[in-house]
Amino acid sequence: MKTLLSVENLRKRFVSAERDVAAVDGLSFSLGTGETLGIAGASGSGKSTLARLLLRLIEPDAGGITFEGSDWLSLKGSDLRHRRGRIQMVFQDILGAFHPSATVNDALGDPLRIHGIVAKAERSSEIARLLERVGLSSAHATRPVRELSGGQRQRVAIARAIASRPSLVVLDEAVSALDVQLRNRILELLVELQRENGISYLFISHDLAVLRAVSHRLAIMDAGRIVETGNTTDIINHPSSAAGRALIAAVPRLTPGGRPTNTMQKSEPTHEP
Amino acid sequence: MTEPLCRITDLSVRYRHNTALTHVSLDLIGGERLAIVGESGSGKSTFARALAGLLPDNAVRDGDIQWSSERAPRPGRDIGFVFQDSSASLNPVLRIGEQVAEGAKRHLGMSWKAAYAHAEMLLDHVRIPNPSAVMRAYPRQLSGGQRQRVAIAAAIASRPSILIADEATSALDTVVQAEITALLDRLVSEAAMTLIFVTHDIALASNLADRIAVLKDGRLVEIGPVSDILADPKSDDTRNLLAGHFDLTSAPLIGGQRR
Ligand SMILES: Nc1ncnc2c1ncn2[C@@H]1O[C@H](COP(=O)(O)OP(=O)(O)OP(=O)(O)O)[C@@H](O)[C@H]1O
Ligand SMILES: Nc1ncnc2c1ncn2[C@@H]1O[C@H](COP(=O)(O)OP(=O)(O)OP(=O)(O)O)[C@@H](O)[C@H]1O
Ligand SMILES: [Mg+2]
Ligand SMILES: [Mg+2]
Repeated sequence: MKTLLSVENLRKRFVSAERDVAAVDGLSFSLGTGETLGIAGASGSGKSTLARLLLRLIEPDAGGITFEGSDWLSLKGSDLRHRRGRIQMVFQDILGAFHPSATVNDALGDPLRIHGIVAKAERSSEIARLLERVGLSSAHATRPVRELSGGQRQRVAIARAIASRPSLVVLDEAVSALDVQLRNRILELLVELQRENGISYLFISHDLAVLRAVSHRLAIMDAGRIVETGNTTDIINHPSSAAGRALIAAVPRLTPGGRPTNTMQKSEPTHEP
Repeated sequence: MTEPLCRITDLSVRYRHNTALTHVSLDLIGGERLAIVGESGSGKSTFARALAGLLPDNAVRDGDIQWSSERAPRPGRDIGFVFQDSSASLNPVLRIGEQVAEGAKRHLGMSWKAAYAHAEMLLDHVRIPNPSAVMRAYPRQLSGGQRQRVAIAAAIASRPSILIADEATSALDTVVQAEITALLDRLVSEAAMTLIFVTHDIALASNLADRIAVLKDGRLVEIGPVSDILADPKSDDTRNLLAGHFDLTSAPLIGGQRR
């Protein structure tokens, strides 16, 4: 497998008068073409900061990123603008990721136009096709993104990320607002695109069942570092880090037959090895 | 059964071009934990907002929401509300401490000093690390899950008798999710709070709620105790929500995992 992305000893610290947070504290990993790396970790462990560093939305204090064979951090100006679209992201804060007055047409049409994906005449049929793939209809195209439901908005964000046919998509809690049927459908879509086009994914999720379904490898983050990495199933079956064990033990489980009402029991560790 | 806290009759909500809720009728019971589940776009957030009196301007409401109390509970004071997007719950230009303390100051008659102490304690309850430093941070300086937890702290700061939480824990890691769930549960049992919990995740609903209401295309298709809904779902829509659930034993979607 060819290496698409490699990250070397990346660091980012946020310092203000009150707080000093080593959000990303010496991260190294690599990702192959057509591979999915799942990232799990407690809230605040640095997952979104890593994502924003990869997108060049913030600059690291130290470390290196090699992407598609070149030094990603030294890209500047028009070179950066040119290649930036090769990495797309679905943001955790979906509402903040869209222009407040954008319609669905704008959100999907812009990347198609900017990256010259389809001819102008075909743009609206491409938008309809993208919407259909994420379980929306072309009737949604003229709606303001702000006036969609949370899950509908999340799907527009996913459609936008795949619209420009990038080589890497960073998904930050991208399916967290979707009901199970839709989530399965979207995950299948992502896996299918990967099989067809060799897209790589960095898949950040709090949901280990989701990560287990789609990731080839899993990395567990804790306090800005990767504390454990390896084959997804192996880690879920035998987590070796304390952070990994805690996350896996707390997965909510459907309790058929339910519990007696009005008694809240702490759920048991849910996993049988 | 005692008189319901609230009787909802034929509640319908329309937006400009589409109908989001159609003739929903149900009784809320004081002190219960009610989960609202349903697929994306089924009307869950619309229902939650209608109940709290927080519908957006372009919505038209029909039907009746009859509270048993003499005056309708007021959002911010009697009803705590956590929006699905934490950026909608929080003011980007206010420090965290001020946003959380504000409700306690205004509605519990606390001094700013007491309200700040109260806020710091709440941040600790929602497991924010180093709360005294976070009090002085702005929302954008926090992680997504931290913001979501601050929104929960702000919503419960005025000790509301009703808390409506829209997907409030859906992007939280499983450990924090379990802790927040336990916190909400304590508020229900110790402070007799009524909890309306919107979620797309029926497993989470089954862990937290006494009753589950299932919405589909804006209609209430089923409501009942958790055990009945799980053991003997009456509608296909409920069965679909249950059937699609996958956990750590489901088959992966990708072939041959690599090392
Ligand atoms: N702009 C910023 N200024 C100051 N601190 C920040 C900033 N962004 C993030 N942090 C801090 O860095 C740490 C890591 O944040 P990050 O958003 O990467 O976490 P995360 O793993 O994505 O968490 P979550 O699961 O809650 O989304 C947190 O403690 C957060 O408060
Ligand atoms: N402000 C709005 N203006 C116009 N239509 C809206 C608005 N908010 C929601 N809708 C529409 O109303 C319907 C119900 O939306 P609602 O947000 O209540 O769904 P939901 O069940 O909360 O979905 P999700 O799980 O995706 O958050 C959807 O079709 C949505 O597109
Ligand atoms: Mg994050
Ligand atoms: Mg919603």
